[in-house]
Amino acid sequence: MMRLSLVFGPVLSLGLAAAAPAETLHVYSGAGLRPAIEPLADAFEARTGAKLAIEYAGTGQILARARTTGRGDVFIAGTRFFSDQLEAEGRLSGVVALGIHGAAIGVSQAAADRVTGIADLGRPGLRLALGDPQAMALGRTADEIMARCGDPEAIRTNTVVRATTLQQLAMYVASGDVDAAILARSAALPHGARIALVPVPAECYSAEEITAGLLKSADAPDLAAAFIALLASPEGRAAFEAAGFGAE
Amino acid sequence: MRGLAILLWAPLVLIVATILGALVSLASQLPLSGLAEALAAEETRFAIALSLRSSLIALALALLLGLPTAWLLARRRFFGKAVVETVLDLPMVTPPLVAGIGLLFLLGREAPVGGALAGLGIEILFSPAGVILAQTYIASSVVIRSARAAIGAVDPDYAANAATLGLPPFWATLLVELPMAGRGLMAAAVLGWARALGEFGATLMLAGATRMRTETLPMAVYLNIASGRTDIAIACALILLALAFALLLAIRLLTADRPDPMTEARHARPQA
Repeated sequence: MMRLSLVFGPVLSLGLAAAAPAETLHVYSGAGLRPAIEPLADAFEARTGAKLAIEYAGTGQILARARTTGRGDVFIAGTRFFSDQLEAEGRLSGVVALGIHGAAIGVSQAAADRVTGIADLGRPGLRLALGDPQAMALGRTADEIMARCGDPEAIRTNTVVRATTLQQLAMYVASGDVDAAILARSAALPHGARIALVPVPAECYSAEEITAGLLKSADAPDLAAAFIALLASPEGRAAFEAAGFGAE
Repeated sequence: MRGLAILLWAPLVLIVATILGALVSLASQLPLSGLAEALAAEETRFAIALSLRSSLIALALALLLGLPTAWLLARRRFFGKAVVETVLDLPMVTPPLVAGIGLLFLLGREAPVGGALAGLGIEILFSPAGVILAQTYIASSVVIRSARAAIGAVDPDYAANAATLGLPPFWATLLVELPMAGRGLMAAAVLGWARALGEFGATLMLAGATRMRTETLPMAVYLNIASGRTDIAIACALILLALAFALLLAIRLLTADRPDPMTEARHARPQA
C-alpha cells in the first residue's frame, strides 16, 4: 500500500479517500485478459475494501453492453480498435495502454509436427480455428497475419470454426478438435503442454494494444480511476507481462 | 372484496406488461428503415434459411425417433421404465449449454465416438450437421414427452377393437391410435419445432459460432451482439419472436377444446 501510494500517490489517494467502505465498481473486460486482470483485481479489493464486479466477454460484446446499458465504471478492451469507438462517442476518457496481444500459432499435440510456421496453415487437410474479426482482437490480427505472410485463401479454406473469445480458441486447440489456431500466447499458457506455441514473426502484424479507460457513466469515477492507475502501474504491467501480454 | 380482485389481477397485469414492454422496447430500438436494411443483409437471410432448414430436419429426426419411443412409453411396461423416462426428460431440464459440452466431449475428435465418425468421414463438429444434431437432441425430448401424453390419452380399446376386426397391431396403431392422437401429436411437433428453432447453447458448443456457416438465428443474435452490430441482432431477434409467436399460436389452436365426435355420437338421440 505504501509502495503503491509512492508510485501514483495523487490519483490513488484521491480514489481511496472518496471510496465508500464496500463500494462496487462495474468493470467490463475482454475475456482473454482474465489471467492478468484477476490478480490485480484481488489486490485492489484487498487494499481498498471496494468490490469489483467484472464482466468478461469478447470485446465487441462488452462494447455493445456498455453502449446499451449506459452503466459501468471501467472498460478494458482487448484492442484499441474498440476503445477508440467508445472514446469517439464521448463515453470513455483517460485511455491508457496496458500491454499487447502477442500473436502466436497454437498447435494441438496431435498436429505438432505438421505446423511449424504460417506457411503450414494453408496445407490441405489441416483444421484451423480463427477469431471472428468483428468480435475480437485476435480475429483482426489473424486476418492481418494471413494477408501479410500467408495464403489467405488456403487458410480460410482450412478454417472450420470461428470463435468470439481467446478462451474458445484455446479450448478448441487443447481438446484436439482443431489442429491449430492463431491465438495469443496468453491464452495458450494455462493449457501447458497441450498447446505448442509457434511464434509469428513481428513483421507479419501490428500487435493489438490492450487499453483501459474510465467510462462516462462511472458512479465512482475516483475509485475507477484508481483501479485504472493500478492496471497501468509497473505492478499492473508486470501482471500483464506475466500473463503473456508483453512484447516477445 | 375489491382489494382481493386487485390482488388477484395485479400479478397477471404485471407479467403481461413486462413481456410486452420488453417486446416493444426491442422493436423500438430499430427504425423500420433499419429493420428493412438488416433483413436484406446477406447474413440475416443466411441465418433465416439455415434456421428453417436445420430446425425442420431436426424436427423430422425428432419425430422419427420420438414417436415410436413415445408409443412404447405410453403402451408398454418394461423393466427400468421409470429410469428410462427420467433419462429421456433430462435434456429438457439440463441447460442446453451443458448438454452441448457433453455432446462436444462425446463427439470431439479425440473421443472414441467422435474419432470413429471422423474416421468414416462424418464431420459433425463445427458443421451444419452439428447444428442439426444439437437441435434434434433438444427437440426429441420435448416431442417424446408431449407425444407420450397425447398417445396415452387415447383409449387403447379402440386399437384392440380394430384388432378384433382383423387389423394387424402395427396398422391398428398407425390407422387408429395415431390419428386419434393427431392433434396432440401435431402440438408436440410444433413445440419440438419451436424448441429446435430457438436452440442456442448446445449449438454454440457443438457447431461453434461461425458466420455464414453455422449461423442460425439465435447464433446471429449472439454474434452480432458480440461485434456491436445491434441492428442485425435485433432484426434476427424480432424474426425469432415472430416465428415463436406464430408457433405458440398454432399450439393454442391445435390444443383448443373442440367437441369430441365420439362423445357426441354416444350422446346423440336416436332419430325417430
